[in-house]
Amino acid sequence: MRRWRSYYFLAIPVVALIAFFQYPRLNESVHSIFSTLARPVFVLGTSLREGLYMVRYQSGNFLNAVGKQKEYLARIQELEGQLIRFREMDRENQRLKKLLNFSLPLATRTIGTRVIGEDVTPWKKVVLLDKGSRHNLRKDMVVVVPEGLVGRILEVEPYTAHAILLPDPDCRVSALTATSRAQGIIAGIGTDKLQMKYLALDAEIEIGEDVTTSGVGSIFPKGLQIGKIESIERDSDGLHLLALVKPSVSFSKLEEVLCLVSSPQK
Amino acid sequence: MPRLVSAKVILYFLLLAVLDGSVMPAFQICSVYPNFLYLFVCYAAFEWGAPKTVYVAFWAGLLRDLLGGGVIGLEATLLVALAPALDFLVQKMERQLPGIHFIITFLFVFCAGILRLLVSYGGELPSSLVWGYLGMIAMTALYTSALLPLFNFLTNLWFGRSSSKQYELFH
Repeated sequence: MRRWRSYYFLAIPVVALIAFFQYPRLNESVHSIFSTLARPVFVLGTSLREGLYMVRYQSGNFLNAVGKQKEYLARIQELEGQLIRFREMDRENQRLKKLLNFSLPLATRTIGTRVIGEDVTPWKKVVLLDKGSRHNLRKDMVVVVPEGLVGRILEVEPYTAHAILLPDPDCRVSALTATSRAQGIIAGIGTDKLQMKYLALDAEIEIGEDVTTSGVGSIFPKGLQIGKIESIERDSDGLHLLALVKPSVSFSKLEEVLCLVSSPQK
Repeated sequence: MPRLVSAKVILYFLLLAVLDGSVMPAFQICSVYPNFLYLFVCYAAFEWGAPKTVYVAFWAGLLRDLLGGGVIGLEATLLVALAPALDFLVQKMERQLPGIHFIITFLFVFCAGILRLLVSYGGELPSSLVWGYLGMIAMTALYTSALLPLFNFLTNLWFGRSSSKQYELFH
C-alpha cells in the first residue's frame, strides 16, 4: 500500500496544474510572489554568473593570446631568419659594389670569385675559390681585393682553384716601400703579420710607411697595396734589415676576391 | 538517507534552483546548459529509492515551474509521472553494466524534455523546428548526464555519504 502511495501523489501536481490553468491570475500571483522572494538570491546568482562569464571570456582571451603568441613567435623566428638573410645580402652587396668600384680603374679584365674553403693546416694560408679553368682562371693569376694584394692562384681545377695568400710561408712577393723606395721581399710567416726581408741597411724606412708591390718579376703588377711597416730590426745575418708589415687585407675575412686576367701594365 | 522535510534538503533544492536559473547559463555550450534539478531527481532514484523519487520529482518540477513562466504544475506533473518509470528502471537495471547511471539519466532528461515539448506545443510545432528542438533536448540530456559524477560527489558531500540503500532481492 505504501508503495502505491507515491503514485497517488501524482494527483497533487495534476490538481495544481488544473487549478492554475483555470485561474491564470492565481498563476501570475504565485509567480510574482516567488520572483519577489527569490529576487535577492537570483541577483546573487546572476552576479556569480557574470563573474563566471568574465572568467570564461578572459580564459578564452588568454587561450587566444597563447595561440597567437605561438603564431607570432613562429612568425618572429621566420622574420628574424629573413632579416639575417637580408642583412647578409646587404653586406654582400656592399662588398661586391666595393669590388666592382675597385675593378673598374684597374684597366684590366678581372674575374670575380668567391672563397668557398680554406686549407685545414693551421699555418698554411691557402683558400679554395669557386671558379676554375672553365671560368678562365689560370695558374699564377694575381688575386686582389679593394684593400690590396691577396695572393696568387696556386693550382687550377676545372671548376675550382686554390689561391695562396700572402701570409703563407711559401708565398713571396717583391715589394717596395712607398716613400723611401726601399726594395725587399714580402714573405709570409703563417700568422697575421708579414715579413719584409732583404732591406738594405741604409734604407731610411719609417714606421707606418706603405708597402706596395714593386713589379719586379712576372707575376705581380706594380703598385698593389700590401700593408704598412710596423717595426724594423736588423736581420739575424746582420747584412739586411727586417721589417714587420701589417697587411692591409684582413685575410681571415675574405669572402669575394678578384683575379686579374692580365697584369695592368700589359 | 535524509528526511525530505529538512532544512538541508530545502536549502539544497533552493541552491539547485538558483544554480539552474541564474548560474548554469554561464556554462552553456551551443545554447544548451545542464539542469541540476533533473539530476537531483535521478540522484534520489539511484541513492534513496522508490518512494522518495516521486517527492523529489514533485518539488523539482514545482521549482522548475516557478523558475519558468508557464502554468504552475505542468513540469511537476511531468516529472512526477516520469518518476515511477525512473524508479522502475533503477530497480530493474543491470548494475554491472558500465555507464548505466549515465544512460538512465540521459533517458530521463531526454524523456522529460520530449514530454515538455509535446505538452507545450502539441502538434503545433512546425516540422522544420522539430529536429532542431530534438537535438537541443538530446544535447541537454547529454550535457546534464555528463555532470552526474560531479553532481553525485557534491550531493554526497552535502548530505554525507549514504550508500545504505537496500535492494530487494525477490519480488
